[in-house]
Amino acid sequence: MSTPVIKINQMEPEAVEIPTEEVLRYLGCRAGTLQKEESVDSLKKLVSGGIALLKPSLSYKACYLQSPVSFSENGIVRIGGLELKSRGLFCRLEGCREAVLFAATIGVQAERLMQREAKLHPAMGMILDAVGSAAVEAYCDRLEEVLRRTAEPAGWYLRERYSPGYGDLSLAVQNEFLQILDAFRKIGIGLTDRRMMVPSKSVTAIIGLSRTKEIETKKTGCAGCGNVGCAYRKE
Amino acid sequence: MNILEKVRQGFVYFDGGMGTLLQEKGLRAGEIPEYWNVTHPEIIQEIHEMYLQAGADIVTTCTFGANPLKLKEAGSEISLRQIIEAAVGNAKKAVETAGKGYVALDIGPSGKLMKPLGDLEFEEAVSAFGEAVRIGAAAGADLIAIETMADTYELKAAVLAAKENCDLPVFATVTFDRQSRMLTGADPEAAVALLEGLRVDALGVNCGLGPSMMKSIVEELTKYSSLPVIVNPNAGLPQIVDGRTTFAVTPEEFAREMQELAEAGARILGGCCGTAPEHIRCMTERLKKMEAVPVTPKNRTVVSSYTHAVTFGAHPRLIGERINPTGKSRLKQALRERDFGYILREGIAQQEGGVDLLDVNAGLPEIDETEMLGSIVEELQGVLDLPLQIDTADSRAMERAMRLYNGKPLVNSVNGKQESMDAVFPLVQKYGGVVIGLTLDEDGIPPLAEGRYAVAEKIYREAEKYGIGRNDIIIDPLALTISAESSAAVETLKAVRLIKNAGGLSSLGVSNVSFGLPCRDAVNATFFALALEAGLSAAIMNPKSTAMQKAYRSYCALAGLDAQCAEYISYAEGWQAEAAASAAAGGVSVSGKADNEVKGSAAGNLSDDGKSEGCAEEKPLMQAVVRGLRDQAAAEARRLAEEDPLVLIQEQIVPALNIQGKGFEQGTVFLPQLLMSAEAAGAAFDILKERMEKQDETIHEGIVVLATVKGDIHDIGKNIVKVLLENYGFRVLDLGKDVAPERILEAALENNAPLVGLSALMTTTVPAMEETIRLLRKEAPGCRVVVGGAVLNQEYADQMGADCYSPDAMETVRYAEAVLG
Repeated sequence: MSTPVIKINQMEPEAVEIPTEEVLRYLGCRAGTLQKEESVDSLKKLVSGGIALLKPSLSYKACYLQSPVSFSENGIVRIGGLELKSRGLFCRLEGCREAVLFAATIGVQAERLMQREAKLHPAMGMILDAVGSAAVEAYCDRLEEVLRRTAEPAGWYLRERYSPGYGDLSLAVQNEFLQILDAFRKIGIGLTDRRMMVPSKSVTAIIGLSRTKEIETKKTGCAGCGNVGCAYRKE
Repeated sequence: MNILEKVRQGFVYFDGGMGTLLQEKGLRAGEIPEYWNVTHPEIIQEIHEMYLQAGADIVTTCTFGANPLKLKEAGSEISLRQIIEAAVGNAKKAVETAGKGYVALDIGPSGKLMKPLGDLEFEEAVSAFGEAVRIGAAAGADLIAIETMADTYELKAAVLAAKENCDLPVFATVTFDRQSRMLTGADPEAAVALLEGLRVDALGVNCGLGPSMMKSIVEELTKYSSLPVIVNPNAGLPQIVDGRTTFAVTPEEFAREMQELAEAGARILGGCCGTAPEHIRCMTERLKKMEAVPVTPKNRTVVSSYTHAVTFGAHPRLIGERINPTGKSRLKQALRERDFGYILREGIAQQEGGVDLLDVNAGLPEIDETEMLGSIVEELQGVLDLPLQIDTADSRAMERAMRLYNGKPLVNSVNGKQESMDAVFPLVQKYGGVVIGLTLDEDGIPPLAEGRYAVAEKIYREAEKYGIGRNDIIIDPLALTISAESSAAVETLKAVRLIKNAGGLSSLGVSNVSFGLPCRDAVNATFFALALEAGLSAAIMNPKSTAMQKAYRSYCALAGLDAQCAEYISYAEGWQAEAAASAAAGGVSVSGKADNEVKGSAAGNLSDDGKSEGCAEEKPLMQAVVRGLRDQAAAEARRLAEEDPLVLIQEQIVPALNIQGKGFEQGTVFLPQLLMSAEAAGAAFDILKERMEKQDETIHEGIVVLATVKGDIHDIGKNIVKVLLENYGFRVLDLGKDVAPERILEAALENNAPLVGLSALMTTTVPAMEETIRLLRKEAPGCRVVVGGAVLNQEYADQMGADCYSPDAMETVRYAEAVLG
């Protein structure tokens, strides 16, 4: 039998653009609620300082594998040895025959720098935390582009990514998810007792692959998530 | 024949990968391979046999993931003991059938990241690995093979576990990336230093890369290591051909590339992921015709951090002396209050000053040195990558710090007294380290250089009994003050030369030489230059001393140790800038007003709030705090030396914090900006505080207990209140920041405190404040509670049931006067 092959992606810090607006959102600074231009400008300066500080420590890495998907009637999705009970994921993958599982991270050195600044300069620590969040998401977007470039010529269309912890997909699957991707050995993502990933700026996700380019009617992104009280929800 | 004997005779071969073969036999993705030892023993035995027949000498048990932490996480139904006993049994059966071979108990990483990156405690890791080692050794393994380690700290835990739980030989291999770095940053030289210090029997590299990409790594390992080098590469990256997983490197290519690694000095060779018996067969066939490169002692004097090694001998090294409480009242206070932030900043400032190592000393009579030294080591190695010099006279504190240290430390110190050598050398033998040997013994310090060298010889000889070579000892021939004995420096310099001529290394605490003299910097710097010329290998010194820096940087340039004088020039630029700045500062006293005006206009974009509350040009300190400019706030505090610090605090720092706190409430200031202002205020406050003399006499009866509540690490507000209270004659017990409600209650009860002051900067920690008040009300009803902090207001305070809300520090003082009388 063929075993799924785990592939690795790496990108240089320069290859990923970190959007300042996203960093501001993670800092709790939302468009429309800003009362003072001046104050936002000075925050933007701080943010660009934070990006410049974190950038040299970023080492984007991801590992992923492609695997067939099957669905059972009780709402369980089976991919690459995982059994996932999630209504949201079920809907997101409906009609997909295969899917990509991936884990991505900005690396240990960046994590260390974030911890260091949090101890020495709490303000910069907070900004770096937001920069790190925006960086790993931006990297995931770039990674999707890479996947799309190889998938589309083979007749696969990518669905939007869906992560453990998003919607109703429990974080409890993280251990098995990372295990299947051999993520500790391949790219250095570990898990704490409370199932938080280390480095903290890491993402695991599933991307459905379908044979038809689906017209998106379902709610996606923040609008599609049931966690309405989330501090980072986009309006 | 013992495996180590076999390694001495020539090449020894490891087996290859297990995972790919198991997958071919039906192991599913996500299934735990270690279970197969119990469920499919015949398949595991068969694979071991295939490797032995292919020429492998060592078979590694299928126990890569068999550690209690991983199995617990996976909710394993098969116990650790069952798995390991079955795994060793399977390998032993294969060895019996083949009639040859050794069984290595395979120990892989725990899959968790160590503190402070992750949540795995060092001792928890040691005991988890220890459990596996004990079972494997009892089951009959011939050696321990620690492999695929990505983090030096976990590696150290695993090696210690092996050493503490069995007497078997220990082999250890780590994984490097394409940049020759381990996941957490170590280069090959640092990995070698750590592993040699821990006295493993062989070391090397495995996994991650194919054989051709390991060549430069193997070259480095063999260059630095005095131990046999192991190399177990992958068979390149996996790919799918005709629906089957295959690896890029064919057995023939593998053998060819392994020969190159053998020529580079690797002595123990095998394969990792994707290699199969065929790879091992081709390799062993090919290497039959070749002789292994001899393993030679390298005699290097080297210490390491979690990223890099520092060697002694060729280039004199600087050891920063600032983390030592002797004569430093601010550090003493930081130690007492467990203010690690201050200690970390001292460390970083010294790193920026260009030192190669940091001395760490926590000897203060009223604190638990063992606990504190260990904690400082953990904190420092969490944020900076310089190797540490563990400085203590207490062997318990020394052991704990050496154990927790993530690398091979410099140890300060041992001396010629039998008692000292009996205590220190076993620690160096166990944990590894380079140790400073002081030339004094039961008879004191020999006055003449020859006498001191004789003590050095005694130290060398005694160390040898523990297998500690001369290369792991640096002699400190002791700098004594010339104010007491005018020939003191001459003898010390002579001793440095004697040590140098005998091929040894030396270190000095340079500044001792000038004790009791005025303008010590001048004497220190000249002595330092003389000692360097005499052959000094390292100096414990203050990197903030420009005179010492000048002596050192110019010596290196003169001695041909600084190519194109590049270092010298870059430091010289700093000195020039410094001189220019101090000249400009000198001008302030003459034309101070003009200077203020310039600064005022530069701060033209200050918020309206700032201006409306009187934050105008004449209050530059206030501006700096509002704008969150840490360095500028400190500079202003220094510049305003003439003013009363209390007035500065009340009229500039406190109002600035209030502006920012109010802005935060209104949503015009964001949390990072509020924090920046708090940091700037803290920097200014630290400077002002030094100028304030503590009132000796206590005017008021009773103790005021102060704390920043649990979850909150911002303590500038509380610190200001503390100093003001002390200045008004109150006795204050400061519990620090992030303090649990129970701890606050305990302190209030113990001291029968009439008043407790609580502070919180963040809204998120207000619930902790509320909880504390509730607890105090219940258990210490007589105690009054005053609260304050940037985001608090009267309404909040009332809701929480506080007795008093204090918008600024002065209000707290007034309230304390009312309560304590």
